[in-house]
Amino acid sequence: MDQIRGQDLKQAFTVATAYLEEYRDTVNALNVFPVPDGDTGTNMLLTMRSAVQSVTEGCPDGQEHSVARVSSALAQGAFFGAKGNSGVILSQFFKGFSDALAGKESLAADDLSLAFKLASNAAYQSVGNPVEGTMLTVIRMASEAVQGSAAQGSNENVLGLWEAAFQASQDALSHTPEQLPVLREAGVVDAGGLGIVVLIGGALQSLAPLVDISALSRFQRAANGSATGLIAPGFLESTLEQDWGNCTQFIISGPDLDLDAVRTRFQETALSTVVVGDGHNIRVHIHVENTGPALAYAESQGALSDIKIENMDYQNQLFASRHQANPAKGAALALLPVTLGAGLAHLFRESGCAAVIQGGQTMNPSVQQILDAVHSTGANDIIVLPNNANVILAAEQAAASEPCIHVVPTKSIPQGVAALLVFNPEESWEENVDAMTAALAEVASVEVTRAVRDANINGVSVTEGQFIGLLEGQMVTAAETPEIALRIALDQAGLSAEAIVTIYHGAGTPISDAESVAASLNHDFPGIQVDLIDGGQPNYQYLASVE
Amino acid sequence: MTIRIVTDSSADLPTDLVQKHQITVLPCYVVVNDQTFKDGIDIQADEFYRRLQSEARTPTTAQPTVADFQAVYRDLVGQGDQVISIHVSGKLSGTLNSAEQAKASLDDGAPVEIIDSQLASISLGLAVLDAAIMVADGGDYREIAAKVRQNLSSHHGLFALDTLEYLQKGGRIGKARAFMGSVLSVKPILRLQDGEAHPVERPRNRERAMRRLVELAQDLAPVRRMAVIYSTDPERMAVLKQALTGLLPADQIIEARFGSTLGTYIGPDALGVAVTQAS
Repeated sequence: MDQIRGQDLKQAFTVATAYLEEYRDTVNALNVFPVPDGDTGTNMLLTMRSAVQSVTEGCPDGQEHSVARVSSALAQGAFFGAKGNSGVILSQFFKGFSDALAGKESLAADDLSLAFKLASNAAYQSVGNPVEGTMLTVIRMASEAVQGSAAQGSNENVLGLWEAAFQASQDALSHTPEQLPVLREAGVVDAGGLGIVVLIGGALQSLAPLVDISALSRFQRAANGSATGLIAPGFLESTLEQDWGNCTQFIISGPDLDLDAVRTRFQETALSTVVVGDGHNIRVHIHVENTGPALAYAESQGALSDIKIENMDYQNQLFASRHQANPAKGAALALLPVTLGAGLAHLFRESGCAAVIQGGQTMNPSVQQILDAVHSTGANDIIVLPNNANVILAAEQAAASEPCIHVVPTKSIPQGVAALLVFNPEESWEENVDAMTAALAEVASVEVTRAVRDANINGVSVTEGQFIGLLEGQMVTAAETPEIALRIALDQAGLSAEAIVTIYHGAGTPISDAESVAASLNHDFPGIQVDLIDGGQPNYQYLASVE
Repeated sequence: MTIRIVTDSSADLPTDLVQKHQITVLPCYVVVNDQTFKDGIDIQADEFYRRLQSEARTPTTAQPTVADFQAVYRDLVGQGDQVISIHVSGKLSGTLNSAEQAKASLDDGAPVEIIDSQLASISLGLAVLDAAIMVADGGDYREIAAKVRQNLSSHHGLFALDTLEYLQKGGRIGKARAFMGSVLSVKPILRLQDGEAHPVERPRNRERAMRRLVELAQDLAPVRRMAVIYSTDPERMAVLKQALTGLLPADQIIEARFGSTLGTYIGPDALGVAVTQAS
């Protein structure tokens, strides 16, 4: 073969993805950088699946397709499906690869040389501070080998170049521990680097079935696909004391985005920054302690979507616990709440939730979003808290599709918090579901929002613009201010001096307004406990609970 | 020849019981503002808790030294006694290491049995008390030590903390890390299990935390021996004790106080219940 056709390229990365599937656990098990949380293999695989799905849809079988079209579809799919640092870097590899092939019908030796070169450049550019000894180095060494072979003219054969890339990537991978101290310390090669080697090797196997790529398997030392124990003993324990913060990912969309400005901003304010995209869509991957300011800035630039925030301390712990010889009972149980608002998301995450699914009354998450979040936890069993009556169905559908998912049907944020507080990660999911379900009865849920139209409900007449108070989802009052509506709804929930009232004030509701309600409660019920929390939720001026 | 029980000050045993049962207590060390104190000897609880909350630097603790253990063991063995030395969980402290090294420095066959209680605070205290009472009933020291080891799983410790802050600052947060968080005010309940503190649940205030402590203790009935313990608020401990009288008459419930070693981690306004289950 002296030219690779579009359908060959498509087939090559489909096969490469299948290889990555096989190596996923090994890649996960090697993951110690930048955060030891064991998700590199999964993130690269999810990114590749999205790339393959995009090319499968965009370039159907049984037709001729140009390499330009195939590579562009791969790049687009990878961009929108990119997960984690490694996935974003991978998506940029495809972006560069595709840029080099614009307008090309098929791929000859010199095209491949340029494609690898631009792919490598794009991968480096996407990262705030490129670190050697990572997948970047593996990509660059592969690229340099292709260009070296092509320049010598010794190899006019495009498959020969691909083979050179494969050899060079393996060499580069073997040397990563010499370049990155943390790898040496942990006694591993770079996880993302192995992912790249597997992809280049898998593609090579598809393009040239006679080439022997069995050397790959030396990186898969552990038996049965379970690669736990690859990392030096003691290394993971030593990582547990560090604060890893939150892995935050999202896409900014808008008509006229400034990629460089966004990248610079996040390079200065966050760690593990990867910012990629164009003037219309920018994908951001950062590690930050506090996600609020990052999201606020992003929101000022354009519309946000695909927001994913993960507590890396939790992931790190989970990963470490699985590497222990006898993981503690229930160590792999995760709690996954659905919520909106920075304050509420923070509350759930810092209280031990694996991740938070963005969603609520006006933005119900899809079954797929719930499943994606479930998979991101990497836990054996996952308890989903829908926290809204309209989300329970999607959560239950997700649970029906996978036996590891369990749902405690929380209808409100206050119910979700009550469930959260009896959650014990050391108990079985069954015991937790029982305890959490029982806890729901202990709490009354109040919501205050603005009426969007005139209505007469439950004998209460409301005019548009008034504030309505709901108790357990039923409207109980309409008032001119959110504070009056809140107070009346709380009164109806049943108050006493022994009660605990928790008030979550929403986005745009000043805490001083919430304090006035707390003061009136303290006055009327001396000794009552009133906790004020900045929920930051949209649409609801107040959420509240009475226990 | 007598059998002597040795423990360390992290057992939080009240002085009257220590004297009554002739228990030897090695003090742990607590370092407050660069000054080293012997727990319960050079520094008393009231002063310790005052300084715990006022000093800029969090106090730290240190196990009794090998030399401390050597002195005690040599003394006792030298006068012809046999020793059963019962200490705080090896997962929480290096005290056992000191004890083991001291024993290794004695003559081969020196009659010293060292026991990792897998416990801490007054639940260790109850295990020590059990051993002392067995000794009073007579028997071979090795057999008594074996029985003490056998009975370890009947001792339970439940603690309601005001905050996990001190546990975290002291580097002993361990499995309780799952209950960290600052947005909601909660009073975490922890339980001793397999030699470590494990998270149980997060009541929203002290009243509910106390109610849960009582319920969790009731789940352990029938009860053979029981103790209540506090760090800074004896009145709340009295309320807790009263609530537990359904399990054991008030005059049989031991009252104790977290000393400066435990206090370093458990912090002010903490309460606890230790239960020895009847078999």
